[in-house]
Amino acid sequence: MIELINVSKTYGGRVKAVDDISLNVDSGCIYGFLGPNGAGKTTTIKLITGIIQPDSGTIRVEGHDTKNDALGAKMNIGFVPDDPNVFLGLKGIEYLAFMANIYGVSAGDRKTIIDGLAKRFEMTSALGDKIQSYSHGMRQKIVIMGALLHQPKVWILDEPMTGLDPKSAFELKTMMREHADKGNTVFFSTHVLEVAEKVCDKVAVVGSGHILFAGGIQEMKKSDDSSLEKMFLEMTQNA
Amino acid sequence: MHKIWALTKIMLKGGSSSDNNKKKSRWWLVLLLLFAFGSIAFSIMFMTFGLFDLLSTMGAAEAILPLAFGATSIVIFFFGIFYVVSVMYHANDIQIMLGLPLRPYEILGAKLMTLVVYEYIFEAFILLPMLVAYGIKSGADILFIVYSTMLFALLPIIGLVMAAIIVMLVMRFTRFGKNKQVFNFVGGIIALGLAIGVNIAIQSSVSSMSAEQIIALTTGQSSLTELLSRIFPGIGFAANALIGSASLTGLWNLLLFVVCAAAAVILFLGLGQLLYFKGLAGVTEAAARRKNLSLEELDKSTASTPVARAYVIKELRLLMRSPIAFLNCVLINFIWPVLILVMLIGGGQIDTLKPFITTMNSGLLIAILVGFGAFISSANAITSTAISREGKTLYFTKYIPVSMSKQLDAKAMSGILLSGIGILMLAVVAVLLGAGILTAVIAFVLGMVTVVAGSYAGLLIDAARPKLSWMNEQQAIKQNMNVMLHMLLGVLLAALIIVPVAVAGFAEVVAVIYVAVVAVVLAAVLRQRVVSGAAIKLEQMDV
Repeated sequence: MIELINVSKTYGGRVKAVDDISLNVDSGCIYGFLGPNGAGKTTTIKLITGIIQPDSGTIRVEGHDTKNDALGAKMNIGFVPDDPNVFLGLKGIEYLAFMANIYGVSAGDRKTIIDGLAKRFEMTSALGDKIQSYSHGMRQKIVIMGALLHQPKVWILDEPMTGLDPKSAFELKTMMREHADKGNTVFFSTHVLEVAEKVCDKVAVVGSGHILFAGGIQEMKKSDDSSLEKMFLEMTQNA
Repeated sequence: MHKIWALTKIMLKGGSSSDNNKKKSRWWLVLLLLFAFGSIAFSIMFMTFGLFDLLSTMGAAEAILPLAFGATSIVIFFFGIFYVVSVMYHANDIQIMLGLPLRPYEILGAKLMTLVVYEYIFEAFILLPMLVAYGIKSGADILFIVYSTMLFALLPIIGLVMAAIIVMLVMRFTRFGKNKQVFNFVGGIIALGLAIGVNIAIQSSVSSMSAEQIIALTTGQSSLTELLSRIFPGIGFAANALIGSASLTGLWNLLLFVVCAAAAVILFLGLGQLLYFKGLAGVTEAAARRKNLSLEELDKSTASTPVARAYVIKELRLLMRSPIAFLNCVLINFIWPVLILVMLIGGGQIDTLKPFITTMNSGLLIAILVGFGAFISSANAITSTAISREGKTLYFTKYIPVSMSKQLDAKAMSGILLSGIGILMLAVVAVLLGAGILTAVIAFVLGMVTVVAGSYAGLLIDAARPKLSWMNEQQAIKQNMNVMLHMLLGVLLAALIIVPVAVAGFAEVVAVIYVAVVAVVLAAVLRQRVVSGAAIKLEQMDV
């Protein structure tokens, strides 16, 4: 579960990237975070993951306050950033082992989990190579694997489908569904409305730092014959 | 032609830092570089003055000119090989350029122009001071200056084209150089080895060379100058153009040199169209095996490690595996002690130094060694770029469940470990030079404490103003003012340790206590500043 209560963030004292937003992301659902470029999606994700600090407001992840119990909150998060170009000098397996050490995954568990994830994402033969030699999609996969290693309750993914091949995108969507069905939380940002429509139980639309809509997909579409795209464009046009 | 010029401008801009906020600091960098290169240029100029006087006695002062052009061409050729590979094959702009509606010769022409401009830097501190010195001594006229300027502008072409042809052949028909990382490692180490080798050769030969030997080297049919003229076609014309600048012979030779340079450009463009574009295929960032890990490899790779150790290992791996970081942060540690030893042995000074060190107050010797240790740990750019090297991925340090202070401790530890090896080597060199074992051990222990202080000082500097916006790691390490600041601080730290001991002439025990107190207090205070002040600053920084 993720709770944002009256959260605001201003960059450089002028640009208000997030303006007094409140949002409840319940356990057991896949929550899509939609919005045009520069709407405040990545800033909100950075606030939840502790990468930046809010100017005001409270953020809780699985009940852990990100300000007073930052490490507790972080332990519950599996985060996939939008830029997968991390630690290019490490081999895939070294990166995963490092993440396992950082998140305290036991020696027995890590081998089973790595093996399972590598098979699902078809990365088994690439683990011994440096991340530098990976394609964009492979880098995305290794970062996703690193984020899921410690089996976190809350998945936060920033544009996770970018660069993934159809098979891996399908696997990820299946894994997101499985994870939510077990009573966990999946929160992800996307530009692709079709993905949101097919995968999400609920969505929030953000524009100019405000939450313009939060609720179920059907609720957003208002009626069965109107498209999500049309509603999205209507909402964000005047934001 | 205007397309070639436009492309060249973009390529040159791509190679320099694009961080507009740091204009002020870049000016400082320019000044510092001018100072460093200026001192080399001045020493070359004064050497040329001496050589002119010496050769004038034989009536052979003109031999300086082919020597100047030849020596510069050699430098251009050797550095050219590395530049050609990085500008023509490893630069990221090639893929973009291949997709643009450009003719092959336009891309090749722009690449050659970019390379020529890079080589002007070498010319500026080798050829320029030699020509200026010769001009002053021989009473140069206006034509000498005009011809010199033209020759300066055109000289790099011939050496570069020779280097480019070799590189293009190798890249077209072999796998060598295709792996960027391996090439940068091997190339960097060879370049460093060459630089040290040349340094030692000059140290040990020039000082002991007689006037006759110098004359034999610079004049006559079997001289070095003659050999260089044969290797690099056109050098003879370049020299004769200046020698006869007052007459038509000069102009004729200048024209012949221009023809040589033009022929080189045509040869480059012709061969380039045949070899270059096919040779580009298969250039990769790093090698990939794409082979399943064996069970043992998997077991070994996934062994459980405490967080702090895992973090230090990660830092060390990244330092070792990036060619730029390896050369500037790791290798540099080992160069200092080796350089001292090799220079002393090469210069034959080891025997004169030994009795001096054996009889020296061991307190002062310890202070000197510890002070030098402080300098080594500040000169290696490990901690002073530890945060800058994270670049745009600094966010990683902020979302993982490890406190910032713990991460900074791990970053400091990577610097402490590598600098520690340098200090250990320094202590061994001291013993080889006649210092007592106990003295060396005390110097090593206190040196390690100073390294702790120096490493945290570097982190403090980098955390205060990290350079996070960069396109390649070179900008984060080599074009980072924090490295320079840390080095200056290292000099101050060394002075704080050595000067009082030397000036006050402390007794051995007092000297050791003084050095120990300074090192321990500084280490404690600087670490405290890092884990409290710098850590909080980084936690609150918006990335």
